[in-house]
Amino acid sequence: MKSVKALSYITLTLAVIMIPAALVMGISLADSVNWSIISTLIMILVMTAFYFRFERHRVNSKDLAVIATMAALAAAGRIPFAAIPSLQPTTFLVIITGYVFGVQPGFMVGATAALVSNFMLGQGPWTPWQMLAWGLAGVSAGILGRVMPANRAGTAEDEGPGEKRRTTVWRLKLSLFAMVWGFLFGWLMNIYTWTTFVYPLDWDSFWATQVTSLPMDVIHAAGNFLFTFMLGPQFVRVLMRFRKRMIVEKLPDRIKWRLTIE
Amino acid sequence: MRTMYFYRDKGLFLQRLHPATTFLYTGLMMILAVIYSNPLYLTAMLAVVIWTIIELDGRETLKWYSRIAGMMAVFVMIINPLLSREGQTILWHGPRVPVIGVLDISLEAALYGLNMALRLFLLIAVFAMYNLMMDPDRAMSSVSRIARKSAVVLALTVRLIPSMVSQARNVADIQRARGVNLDSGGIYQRWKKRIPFLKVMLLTSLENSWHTAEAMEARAFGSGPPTRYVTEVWRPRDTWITAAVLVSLLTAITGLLAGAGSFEFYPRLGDLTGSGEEILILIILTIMLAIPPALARGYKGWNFIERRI
Amino acid sequence: MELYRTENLTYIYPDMARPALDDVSVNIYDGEFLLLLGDSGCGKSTLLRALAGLAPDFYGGKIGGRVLYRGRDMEKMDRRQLLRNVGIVFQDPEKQLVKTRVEQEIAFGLENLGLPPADMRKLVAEVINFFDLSELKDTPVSDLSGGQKQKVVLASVMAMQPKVLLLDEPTSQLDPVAAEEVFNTLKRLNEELGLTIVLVEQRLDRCFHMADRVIVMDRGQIKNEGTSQEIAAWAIRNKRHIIPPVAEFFCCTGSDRPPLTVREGRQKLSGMGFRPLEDNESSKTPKPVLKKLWERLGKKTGHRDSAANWLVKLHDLWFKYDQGDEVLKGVSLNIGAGEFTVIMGENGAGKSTLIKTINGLLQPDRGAVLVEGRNTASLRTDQIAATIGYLGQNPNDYLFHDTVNEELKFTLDNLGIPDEGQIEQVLDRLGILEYRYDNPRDLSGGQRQRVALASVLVAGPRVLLLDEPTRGLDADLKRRLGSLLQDLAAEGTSVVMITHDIEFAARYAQRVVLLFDGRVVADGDKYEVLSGSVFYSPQVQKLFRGFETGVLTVDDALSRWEGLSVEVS
Repeated sequence: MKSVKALSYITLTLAVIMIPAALVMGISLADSVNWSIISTLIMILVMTAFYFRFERHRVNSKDLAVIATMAALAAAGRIPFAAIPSLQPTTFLVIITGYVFGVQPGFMVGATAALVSNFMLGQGPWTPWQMLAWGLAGVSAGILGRVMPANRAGTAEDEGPGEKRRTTVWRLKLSLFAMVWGFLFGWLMNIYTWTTFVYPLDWDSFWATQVTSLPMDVIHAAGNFLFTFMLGPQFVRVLMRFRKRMIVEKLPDRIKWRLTIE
Repeated sequence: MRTMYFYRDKGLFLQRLHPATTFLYTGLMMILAVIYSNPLYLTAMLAVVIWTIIELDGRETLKWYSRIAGMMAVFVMIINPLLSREGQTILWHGPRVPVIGVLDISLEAALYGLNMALRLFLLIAVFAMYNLMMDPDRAMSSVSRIARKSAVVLALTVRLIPSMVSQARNVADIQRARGVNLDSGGIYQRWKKRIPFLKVMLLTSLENSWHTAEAMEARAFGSGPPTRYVTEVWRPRDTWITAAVLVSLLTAITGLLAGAGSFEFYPRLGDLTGSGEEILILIILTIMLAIPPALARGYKGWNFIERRI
Repeated sequence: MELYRTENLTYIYPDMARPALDDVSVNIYDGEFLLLLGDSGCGKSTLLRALAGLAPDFYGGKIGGRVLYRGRDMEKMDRRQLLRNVGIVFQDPEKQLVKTRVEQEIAFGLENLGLPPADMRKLVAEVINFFDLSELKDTPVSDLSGGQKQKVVLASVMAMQPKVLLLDEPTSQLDPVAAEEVFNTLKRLNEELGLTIVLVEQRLDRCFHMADRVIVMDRGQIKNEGTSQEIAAWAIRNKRHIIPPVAEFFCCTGSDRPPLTVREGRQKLSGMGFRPLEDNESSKTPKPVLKKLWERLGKKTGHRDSAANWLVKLHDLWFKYDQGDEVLKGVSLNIGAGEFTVIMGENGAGKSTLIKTINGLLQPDRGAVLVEGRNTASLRTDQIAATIGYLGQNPNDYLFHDTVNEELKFTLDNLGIPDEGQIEQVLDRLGILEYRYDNPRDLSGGQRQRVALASVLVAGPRVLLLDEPTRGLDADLKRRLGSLLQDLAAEGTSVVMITHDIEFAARYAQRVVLLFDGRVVADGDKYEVLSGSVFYSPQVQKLFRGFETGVLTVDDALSRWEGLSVEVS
């Protein structure tokens, strides 16, 4: 554990040193600032911070198995030969995991799904950006879970009229949230293309880059909305039930054994 | 189901490097590809990478990646000349367009777009090379050195996917046997008919994850500070290649301090070859980076080398 | 020497009212091979988990009483220390594997224990040798067969050098050959290394005789314990069908110290008045099955052969998957209404492929499938779904609705059949009507299977296809399934079932089809096929080979024995 911790610290320190170093290198060595390297380093730093947090955190086997399971589901959704064509539930699954289990599992599921699916689809410069984008989708959903908890609103099965309205509003909000991530995802992915291959880096070129990916982003966003609207409440309910089961309640008082006479 | 990986193990020399060596070599290539803007440097590196890919029997993979790069390259080659106003050699005076402004295409901007497309091809080729070289299983276990829990998450995720894929197939069979026609209706109808897949798989996988956790618990997971089981070996070839990478790195840094490797596009095109120094650095760098494919060639060709590295 | 002692152990799972373990006091001795028996839900698995420290540590819940390991209270033991002493293996190997490669998997537990690298290398090497895994060491785990996976799980637990090995139905998901290998390994571990083994198992014909001691549990309590022979005699007196057929037969004939294996049994048979058959008599045993088959194909005799009575006709089917060899090589098979047919054969013989061609999940490359006289080549599976019901291997793949009722309604709606009370009828018949509005995922494994079956039967299919439905079922559930399928057949439904379970086939089926390498090598009445086979034969048939012909089940054997007693008197 000590060595793992030590190594994690070293990694983080390296990342912290590398950012200013890159800035200096970018500005002084290549005449103009190399934003490609800087954006990449910022991305790496953010991810390192989350991974570092995960490594330091006490994680038991149940947490770990659930994270891997949700990540595998999300990743399998991207693989065309998974026999479920035209179904890309990755973002949806990442978001509901984050929503129910919190920020850290949300990040891990998103990042892991991106990395692992690319083991099968082929790694590319897009891999770390996908990890970041899906990871952050999970993180933000984790925050949303705290700000707008489901409680009974989203999950109550037998509802009164007032309750029903609240449920619908909750459902709509969550679906819109997922929809927004359809666009955000595309934008984050475009940052890479923009900083690395486009000059000058100004608002015009930024928007021009975004526009090119617009059709794909719209499909992504619509898919997210549909998934969340149709399945959100149900899946959140399933996950919440499972989370409840994961929390081991160990009763301090041992039950008094009784003698049974046969 | 190894076949699910993009990576294919062909038992090649370059697939038998220590993971650290592979990470160092490909990592340096990725960084240099983004830093350098001089087309000579980019072209030299691209040549080296393509040679490596050929040594990895990866022509098909390269083609596959080139198709992706091609689509992105078209975008890069169009957007740069359209948006850049800094070039002075105007090739074509365009009309005034709202939002963007005057649509003047300059020689500099067009060449800049071409150069960026070159950089794009290089980067994509470096990733293609990485995919051909690095077995994901080995990459994962080497990650466990710094991040064990994350590595376990990765391994378990990869392990679960094949069973999920086969489960999806079973569910498809069962849905059909229960009277669902999966292939009729519009996009929305088809999408809706596939929702049960997701539900079945979520429910079953969550249940299974409980048993997996139990089995991990029974094998002492989380019982205290773990150690690491290493199967990787360090061979002379790793020493050679690591040395070459370090020399290239030093050369590159020396060069960068002298301004080598960059190329001015705006307002007017700069001098391509620059000083003799710049050429010298380019030559050293290319030779050093070409050491891995050269070793691979030697390994194939000469028994003498094969046994010693 | 005493290894474990539980003192009045009581344990209740979270959110449960009834204790899973109710005042259990039991001793386990060093080096013994202990078998734990009982129906599903009797607490045997829970006892294992309590012995491994997983209940309550992993499950939560309430615990009373104590578990002592070598005289020390387990609750006060350090977890690592405990895990270096106790290893546990569960049912499904698929769910127990964590890493992607065999060698890494074996090292996983050792890493977790924090062993120094040098020790790990030594242990991994030793275990790989002992389990003969050196050829698989770099194989991706997902490429392994079920049996190999379980072997890897066993190896990875054994690498941690436990003093006692707990096993919770380790062969329930395996085919007989792989199961046999697991049992042989356990025997080796017990005999060569003196390892203490506590085994929970359904497949009794393979392990009952290996046990030094047997404990029977019921509703969380210990019902009885003793040697295998004592337990066998006790079980028959108490009408509990928990013992293997050979022992059951001898117990029923009044033996107090019943033989447990075929070999011992055969020695005893002659003492009971059974006479070995003369050579000319044994030649009267059924002719080689292949010949029978040709006869059947050649001349059509009997009323069933008239074309109108064949519900499903398979004619010269050939099939090949995109990657790989031909799986079916000219299979012809006719299935009549009300027939209960069992398809047997080794893994990869083409059994699953064959039944998938019947309902159109797979279309044969050559040959024809006729269902009620209609060629299915132009039909989709969903179009014949109302006629042919299909129960896949995993009942969980059927369950995704919130209630059992919706699950059945889903099938009806898809097929456009209105519910006119069938749902209630089917649920009642399968004994799960009380769960109609419960979530199917809250039910036990056996109940889930019945829900899945109900969702198939509700459409009233004329042919029912089942892919290994007995997998993982205990004796009681198998009996219920067997008689249900017999009833369905009696009502005119054709039942076609794949199984590895020879005893089940011998007891309930009418007809047995043996598949080998994509070809039908035997087809006929179960008495013909199973009696004519040396290896594909039930235990009782093995017992009586050379003594009596046409004896497949304990009931057959008992009626012969009674006949004998009449003759003698």
